[in-house]
Amino acid sequence: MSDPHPQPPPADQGRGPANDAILDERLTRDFGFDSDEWQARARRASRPGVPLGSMGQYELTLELGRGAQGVVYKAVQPGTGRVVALKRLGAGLPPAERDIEHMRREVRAATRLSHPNIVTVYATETIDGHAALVMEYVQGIAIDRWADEQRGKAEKSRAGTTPLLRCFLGVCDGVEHAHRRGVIHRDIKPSNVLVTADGTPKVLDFGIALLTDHLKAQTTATGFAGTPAYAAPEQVLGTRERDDTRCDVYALGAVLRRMVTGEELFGPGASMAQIVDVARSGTRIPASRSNPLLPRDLDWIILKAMAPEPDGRYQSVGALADDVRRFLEGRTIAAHPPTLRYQAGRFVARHTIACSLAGIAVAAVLTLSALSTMQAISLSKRGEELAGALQAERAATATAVVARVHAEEQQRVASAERDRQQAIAAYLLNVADGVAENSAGRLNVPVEDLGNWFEGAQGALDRVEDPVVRARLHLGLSEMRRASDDVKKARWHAQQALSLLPASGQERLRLRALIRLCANTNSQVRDGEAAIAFMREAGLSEEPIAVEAWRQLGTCYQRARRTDDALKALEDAASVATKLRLGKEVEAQIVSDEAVVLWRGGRVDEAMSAGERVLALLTPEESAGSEAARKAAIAMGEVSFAKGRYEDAERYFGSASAWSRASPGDGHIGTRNAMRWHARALHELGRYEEAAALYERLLQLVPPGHEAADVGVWWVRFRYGATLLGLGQTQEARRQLCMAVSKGLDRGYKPPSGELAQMVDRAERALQATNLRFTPELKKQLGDMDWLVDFVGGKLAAGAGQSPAEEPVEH
Amino acid sequence: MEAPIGPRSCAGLGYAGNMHTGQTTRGTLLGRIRDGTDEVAAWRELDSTYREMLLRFCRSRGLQHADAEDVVQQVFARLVNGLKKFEYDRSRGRFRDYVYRCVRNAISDWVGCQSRTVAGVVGLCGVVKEEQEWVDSFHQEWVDHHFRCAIAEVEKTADPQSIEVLRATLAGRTVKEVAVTLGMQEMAVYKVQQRMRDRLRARIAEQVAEEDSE
Repeated sequence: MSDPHPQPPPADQGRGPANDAILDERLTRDFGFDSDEWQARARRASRPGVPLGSMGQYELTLELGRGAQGVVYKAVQPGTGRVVALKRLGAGLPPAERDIEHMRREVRAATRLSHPNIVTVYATETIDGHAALVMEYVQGIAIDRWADEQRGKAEKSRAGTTPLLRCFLGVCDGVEHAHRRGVIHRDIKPSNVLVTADGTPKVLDFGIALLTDHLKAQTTATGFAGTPAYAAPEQVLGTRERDDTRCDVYALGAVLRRMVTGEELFGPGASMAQIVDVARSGTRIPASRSNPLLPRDLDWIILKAMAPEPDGRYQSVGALADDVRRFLEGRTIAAHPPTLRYQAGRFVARHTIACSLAGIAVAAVLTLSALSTMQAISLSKRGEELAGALQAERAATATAVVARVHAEEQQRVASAERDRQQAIAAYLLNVADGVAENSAGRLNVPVEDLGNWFEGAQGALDRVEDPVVRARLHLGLSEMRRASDDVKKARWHAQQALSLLPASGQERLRLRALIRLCANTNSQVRDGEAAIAFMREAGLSEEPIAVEAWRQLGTCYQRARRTDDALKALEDAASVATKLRLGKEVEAQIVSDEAVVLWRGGRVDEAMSAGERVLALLTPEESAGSEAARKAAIAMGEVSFAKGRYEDAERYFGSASAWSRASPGDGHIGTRNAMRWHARALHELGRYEEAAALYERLLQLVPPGHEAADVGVWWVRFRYGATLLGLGQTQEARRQLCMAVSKGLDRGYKPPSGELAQMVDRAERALQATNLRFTPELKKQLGDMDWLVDFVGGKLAAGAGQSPAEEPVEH
Repeated sequence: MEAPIGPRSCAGLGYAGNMHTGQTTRGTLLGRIRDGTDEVAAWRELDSTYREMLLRFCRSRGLQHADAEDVVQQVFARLVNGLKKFEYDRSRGRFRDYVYRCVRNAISDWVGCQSRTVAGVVGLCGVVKEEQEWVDSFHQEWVDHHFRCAIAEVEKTADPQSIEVLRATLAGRTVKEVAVTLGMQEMAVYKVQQRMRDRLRARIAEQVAEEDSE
């Protein structure tokens, strides 16, 4: 349709450089400067523009904005007089019918969203062949401009980032609401978040990114329609087949960064190539580089939200919002590596007054070495009083003054020491609380970092005298040990806590210790029953902790294979939870316990349906990080596995593993359990490489020096060895199998337990299957496992007709 | 937020406005687009200089506002690509003739696209008219465009009274009315009008010369 050679205007056929005479003539002719005609022409030029007109049934009153996605107008619906925002989506051909259904579904979902932080979409229409959205009209400004204004005010009022973060939390709430309903935004950026005059943020354009991507793909070479500074690397690079909610987490991080720094991540001159490079390399620039006054914690939060890999980010918008809330409350944030020093810093920040008092007290104690000097000074100050009294021959009064001075000094010393102890204890209890949070799955602490916590709390125990404080520290340590799967030490700490607690008072702590004690035993029903008896005696039956006690008793019964009793205990837990309205997470936990009990009790179908009930209770977002979801999925996976339905099993274990890796993280015992099972199912399906990768990760997770204490590690090595055999890597398989046997025997299980004997037996058969021969090279490789080399080698040699070595294992 | 099309500030206008020194500081738009160093800035400059003119032209051709916006985007894309590919040759025509060809073709393509994909687009019959009318209309928009830019520029440096006189004149007031309203002698109003005319003329001369040097 293009006409390559339309006629140029005849008036323009003269051309050329600015020849004065020609220019003069043209100005005279075209602009009327030779008479007053210029006034009429200038008047015409200054007339208001043509009215915007109408679009479909809507009268356009104002253009509100224009971008890659299309044009937005303020418009009036003539029939109702309703003022709306009308967005006409971009240019280009309408999408093909086959593509459009997916988009329509999502846009339809978006129109059903109703939340104070989301701009409501009233309807979608097709007007003159263009898709158009009719939306709530919001009078507000883009959140970046709003934040700039707020920062300006904050500089004067010293309000800091708090108002910005509160507003940002509103944005998170809106986005999270949409995610719960299956709508991903995909193009969150400051211009898509308006802030109203009362400071309420409203997120625009949910669900239309798909539609506009399609339109844009027709007009751009890359097909990438997002806003580069706010798009997650996987969107920029197109490395994921489907966007998930974590691309919105990235964008929210970028918006937060823009809000608190006032700077764009990429300057206006950045080319697409530069942006792609940054996305590919995963370079991350701390926000504090743009705003040096920014608290470090905010830096961490932003860096975590904007992690290049989706797995490295907060796994949900809720998790991001929680961390921002923690930051606002001065608590430890999940994004920060939990070093002891950091914990201390946060604690001090939260308890500024208490700590400064404690600091003064500690300072006083530190100077106690100079106490005699202080006393001397003090006495000399009172000397005048004393002298006066003596002078007046009031000997009795003088004696009283001396006694009072002594008493005051002693009281001061005692009080300073008490303050010092309390300050130390409070700090460490904060650490312990943090770990307790970890064990409840709310903190994502890598197991390696737990080392720092152990160290701090252990050190504290040596210095703190208050028995209750010591007991609380022991309970924290017990949780830590449990989280890192050191059952024996966990139980020991629980016992210590119990022995320290006074006979009366502190009932809740005592009950917690009792629960912790049976949580770590193998099948001590009496411990669980003791906890319940104590709970009743102490009148705690109607408190949230009662749910924990009943659940624990259920677990004890289950271990003792008393399925009906276990189910009864869980019923009691459920009735307390219902009475106290503890919410669906607690309900899910109880039902997940039920699933485990039923499965272990051989009631397979009931176990499956209990598992399904748990997963139905929780949304996918809620399942991530939920202990209940993990347990339920593992139980269902185990059922499927037992029935030989490995694909189902793999799916359940895979979900459990993914949820748990998201939170509480790889280091948690529950996560490792899920990963072990997942690897096993993958192995059964012949997916050896994936299984091997999981086993490797599991072995990496064992803290140095911890392997010997961890029965699970032997199992991992066995399984890993078998998987490696599947991959044909016989050399490495042998090494893992030998290490498994070695670790097993090395732990002093002599005579070995039945389990160990079984393991050794299996290892031997596996080794034989690989035609293991202890060549000099292999012996060299095995190094410190000479005894094993002799042992297994001897057995193999015996099989080959040579003299057998001493048999150390009884079968 | 943007107002409907109408007179607006030409702040950020592409014209350099220092022809009186005999130099241009920015180099030609064309040169910068061709050496490829600053495409985004070049695009912005095109937008700030020609956007309103092109929108008004499209609306005068019967396009709805939203469609006009789309077409103008297309025109800028064509301009940048065309300039890069040396489609524009100064010896064959002036820059504004080239802009005219781009917008003319963009509208034709848009009409074709609409009639292929959308049945019964209302008002399209008003779009395709006689070629001469197109040319005249574009010329008129071009004149208006230079007037608007020059007025905005001159107002930046003129004294308040001169601005008042200019605005009153452009609002259609007679000399007498202006004199009464502003409490001036009629002769003084005449003199101010002449001074403003000379400044507008000088400014437009600069703009046109600069445009022609593309």
